Amino acid sequence: MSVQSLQPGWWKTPVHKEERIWITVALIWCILMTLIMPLWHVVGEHNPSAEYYRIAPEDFDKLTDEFIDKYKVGVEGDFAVVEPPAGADIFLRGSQWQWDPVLKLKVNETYRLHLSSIDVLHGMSIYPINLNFEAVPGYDYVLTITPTSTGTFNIICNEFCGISHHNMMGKIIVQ
Amino acid sequence: MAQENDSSGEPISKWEKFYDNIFLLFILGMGIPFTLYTIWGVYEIFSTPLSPLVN
Amino acid sequence: MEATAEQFRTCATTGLKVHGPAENLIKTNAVTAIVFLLVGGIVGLTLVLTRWQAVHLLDDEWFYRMLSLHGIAMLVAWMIFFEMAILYFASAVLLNCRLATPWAGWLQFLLMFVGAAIVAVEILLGNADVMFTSYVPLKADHMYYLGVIIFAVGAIVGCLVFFGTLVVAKKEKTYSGSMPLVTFGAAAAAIIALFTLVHGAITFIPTWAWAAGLAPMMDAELYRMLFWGFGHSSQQINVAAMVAVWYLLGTLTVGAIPINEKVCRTAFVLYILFINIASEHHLLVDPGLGIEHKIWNTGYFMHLAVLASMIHAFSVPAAVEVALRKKGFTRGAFEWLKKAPWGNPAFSALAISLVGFGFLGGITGVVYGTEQVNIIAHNTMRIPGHFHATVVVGTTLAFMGLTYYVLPLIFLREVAFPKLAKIQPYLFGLSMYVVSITMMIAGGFGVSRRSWDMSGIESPFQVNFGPVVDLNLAIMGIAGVLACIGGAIYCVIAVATLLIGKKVEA
Repeated sequence: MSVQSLQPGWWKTPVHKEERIWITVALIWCILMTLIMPLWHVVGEHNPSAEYYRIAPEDFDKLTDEFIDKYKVGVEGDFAVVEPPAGADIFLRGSQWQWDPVLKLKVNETYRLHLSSIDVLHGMSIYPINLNFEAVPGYDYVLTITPTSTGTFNIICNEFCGISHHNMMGKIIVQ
Repeated sequence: MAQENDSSGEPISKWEKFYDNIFLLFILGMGIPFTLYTIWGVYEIFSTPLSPLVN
Repeated sequence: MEATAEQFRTCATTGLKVHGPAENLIKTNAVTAIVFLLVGGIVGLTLVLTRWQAVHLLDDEWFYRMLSLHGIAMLVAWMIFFEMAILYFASAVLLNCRLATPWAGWLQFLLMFVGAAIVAVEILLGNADVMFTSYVPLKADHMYYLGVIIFAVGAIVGCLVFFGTLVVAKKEKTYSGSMPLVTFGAAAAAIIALFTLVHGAITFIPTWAWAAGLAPMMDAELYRMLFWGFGHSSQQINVAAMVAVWYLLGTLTVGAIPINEKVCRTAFVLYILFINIASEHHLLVDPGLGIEHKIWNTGYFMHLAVLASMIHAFSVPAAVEVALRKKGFTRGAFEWLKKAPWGNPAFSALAISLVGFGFLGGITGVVYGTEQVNIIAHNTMRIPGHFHATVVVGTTLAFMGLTYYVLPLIFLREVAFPKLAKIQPYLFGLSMYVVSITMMIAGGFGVSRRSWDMSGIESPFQVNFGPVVDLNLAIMGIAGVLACIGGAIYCVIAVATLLIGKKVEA
């Protein structure tokens, strides 16, 4: 009974064959699960980035402003539309409650996307391909990205950031 | 931990003693995740390099 | 302080000696837990009716406020109050022992109650629209953090009373050999709880000081890392406590005997040693932590803590099968399953909880916790889908099942409305299956969790998720309402039993 104390010697009770088989199968599955994460870093192309730096929110804010000034090609509502050259360092700034700027990228070109926030935490979720990364104030998270299809992508904020959180949407245009 | 007047007279298995030693399990249960998750994590966070974009 | 003989009664059904002060603490904590379940359930109903797009009940401000309250009332208050009752039961009652320092038990209750009340009031006053996670730099009133700290201190006191009782039982030789498996499982939960609560302290004390203007803000990523040492580990307490309750329910409902104690206890030891490092699951797409740290910790130490769950997933049903076969249900492979006591709400709760936790909650947890898969799952509705399967279908339903035995055995009253009780686990459990699954599907389309309006109605760039997602969320809404009805039936049965239930002979 699971509610009664056990008399000494219980360790010697042999494990039944069926339970041994189950545990062995489960253990093999666990080992496979353990191996697959590092293995995917070797053979896969869908891994979280390990490149990140410490940066003061004011500095990130300034860098984003400079980036916008340098490559601005137009406006959409209150947002600057920015078209950086292939291979450039590009910036995406989260703040309450917007993603700046609107990025215009070229398909099959590689960019270094710097992601951060200048106030509270935000979450970058790219719709409809559903890729999610965290924007943490004080950290520059560098994601090396290569858009592989053209179209308009939305950036949904998926980390609660205040009462207007659900209105925090951004845009990436891939041509 | 050990039952002194064990009827069979056989020594109690080391594993039984280990599993009965809640205090030792407590030390290990705190120590292992604290080391692997918390302390290692704090080290990782504080060893984040400064951004090369800021001079 | 020695316990006197008058403080004990002998249970007529089980023959266990029950210590009066322990019994009072079990009752008080359990009733408080159910009150918080009721509050959290009503709040949950408003939430599910808001995310059901066609209804969209609350406005944005109240949605986020209610979401904060739902998390605190359910994940923290309901669970931990009930677990305190389980800790006192598993130590004092199962070990035939007096409870060590009952006054400290009352201190636990008082602190936890005051802490939870402060937190709830702060949220309702609109001083803490920061969600359960309260990530800095988002700031709540300093009283909110103080409430969490007081609650956590209360829970630490409760765990220490539990360990103290284990020591007393050993010293006074109230049992011989090794402690019962259920007590061992409760001890695993208590150890995991102390790790959790220590992280609660190191997260919330500096954050409280910051909110009160006494200290600078903690680094945002450091907060996330330390917070999840508290936030996710607190859910591992629920896992360990739930598994202990599964074994207990197996014994109470069909007289199940664990088929191999060595294996069952090893699984609990693996929980104690490794399950808490899985807090890393929340940090997989964060800056500030290296790949090695992420892989090693999400790997649960080579998934050995997952192995533990796999062991329980075999061992609990196997024990039930063996017990039922001993009763003579031996025809074919499945006669035991067909003839199982499906009309006993504690048994059906056990079965629905076990299957739901394993297949919906456990598997999704391990998969979404894989570094690469997490990129598409992080902060989408897949995550609440996962944890509604673990914490609601799994833990809550297991605790509900246990209540149907606690009422006659501890409160000494016959369960009121037995016919309603019969259907309650099915209604609640199966509706929650649907809620979890529809949430996961919506998350697969990229619908974000914790969002009042997924399409960004007032935003310059709107998103149209399309009819499949709308349909999914409508099904979630209907199933959520049914689950709330199931939860309400549980609360009504519990309250009615206490007020008008027929008394059982002590």
